[in-house]
Amino acid sequence: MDNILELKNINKIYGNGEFKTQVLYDVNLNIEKGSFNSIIGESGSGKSTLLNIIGTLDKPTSGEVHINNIRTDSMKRAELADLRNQTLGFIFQFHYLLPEFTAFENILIPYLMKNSKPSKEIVERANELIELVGLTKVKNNLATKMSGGQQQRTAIARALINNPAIILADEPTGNLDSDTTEKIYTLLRKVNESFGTTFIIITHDRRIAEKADRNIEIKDGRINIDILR
Amino acid sequence: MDIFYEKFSTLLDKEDKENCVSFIMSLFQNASSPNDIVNVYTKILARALNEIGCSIADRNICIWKEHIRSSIVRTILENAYPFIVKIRNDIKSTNGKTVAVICPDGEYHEIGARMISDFFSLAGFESIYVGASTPKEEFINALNYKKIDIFALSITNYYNLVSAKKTITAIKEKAGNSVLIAVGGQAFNNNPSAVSSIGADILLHTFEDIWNLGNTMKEDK
Repeated sequence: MDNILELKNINKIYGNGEFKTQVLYDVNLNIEKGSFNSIIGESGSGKSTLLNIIGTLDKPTSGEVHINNIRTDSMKRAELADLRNQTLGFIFQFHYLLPEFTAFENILIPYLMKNSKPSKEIVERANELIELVGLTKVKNNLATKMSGGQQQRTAIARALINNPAIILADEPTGNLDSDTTEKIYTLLRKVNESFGTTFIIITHDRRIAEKADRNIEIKDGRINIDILR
Repeated sequence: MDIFYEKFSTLLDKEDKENCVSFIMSLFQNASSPNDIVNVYTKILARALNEIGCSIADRNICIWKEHIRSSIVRTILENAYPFIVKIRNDIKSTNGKTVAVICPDGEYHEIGARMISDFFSLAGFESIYVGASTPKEEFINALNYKKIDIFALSITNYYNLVSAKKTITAIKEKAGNSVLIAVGGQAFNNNPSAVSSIGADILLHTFEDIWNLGNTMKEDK
């Protein structure tokens, strides 16, 4: 299987002089296209920093990041914004939906950032995604008029609107109860299997992690264990 | 052994606990060597559990059925102990070494571990089966009250390799190399290199592996 992501000797140091803090040490990691991966580790281990570097939200102090065989760590800001919008989808613990907009409108936002008006095709895709995540009945509700699980499912559909190759998720079920967590996991798996989307999920939730195809534990800024299901 | 497997499998499929137990007990009564017991464990009991299917008609009660079948096998294993002791005493092969068989924190699949514990007994060890999901602190504390030569960790769910590594690290910090760390289980099927990356000393797959380890330790005694 081809790699969709390659990290080579990634180091990350915050600060300078005597206040330097190194949070990642020589991290080498390949992620296969279409795989479902979990990153685990204690708080402060460096896993969110790693995810931010993968998502081009942060740059490594040294090392190389390759997404789809394109080196991203040396890209300019505008190029990175394009890459993120087209290739990467993000899901966070908090949904960051815009409260003035409906679920349907929120899902279209990543598309509207690059285009003034939604095309017929993108409206169709949004409706398909609404159905996929089971929000048909509440699609015209304002973001504030939905349950936590519905808001997170909206966020997942929003992450998928541009058909990204990779979804990066940071504690996507961190605010949810166990039943809703199971539903969200099932949904993420369905997306993974239906679209071949690669998932990299940071989680503290054993129920998510143990079902991933691969678990990578980060400890003290290094890969401590890397195991396959 | 296939004919015995087919019979047992049919009884297990019917969830006929009474006849499942009595059928396997009759095989144990005829056992005259460690391998006779091991064959029943691996070629009938383990095989039946691994090959448990779930028909479309039963798809909503798959876990229910799996748990009942596991429970029947667990009863058989409890009742096997007198036969294990008899065969071990017959061959007088005790090697004076003590092994604690444990599932690490979070690992609740214990049938494999129970079988392995009996394999250690048959190979001449004093084998202590501790149980499922044992917190790592308990391993460390156990070293203060009991001389243990081997910790054998059984790991089925690959995710539990993470807690196994924490446990092994803690044991090595406390006991250095005075305790051998053996590992085994389905978690290693796709992770053969995890044996060294979690800090274990040896991977045990089969009864023969355990038997050979017993011989090696007897020579070292």
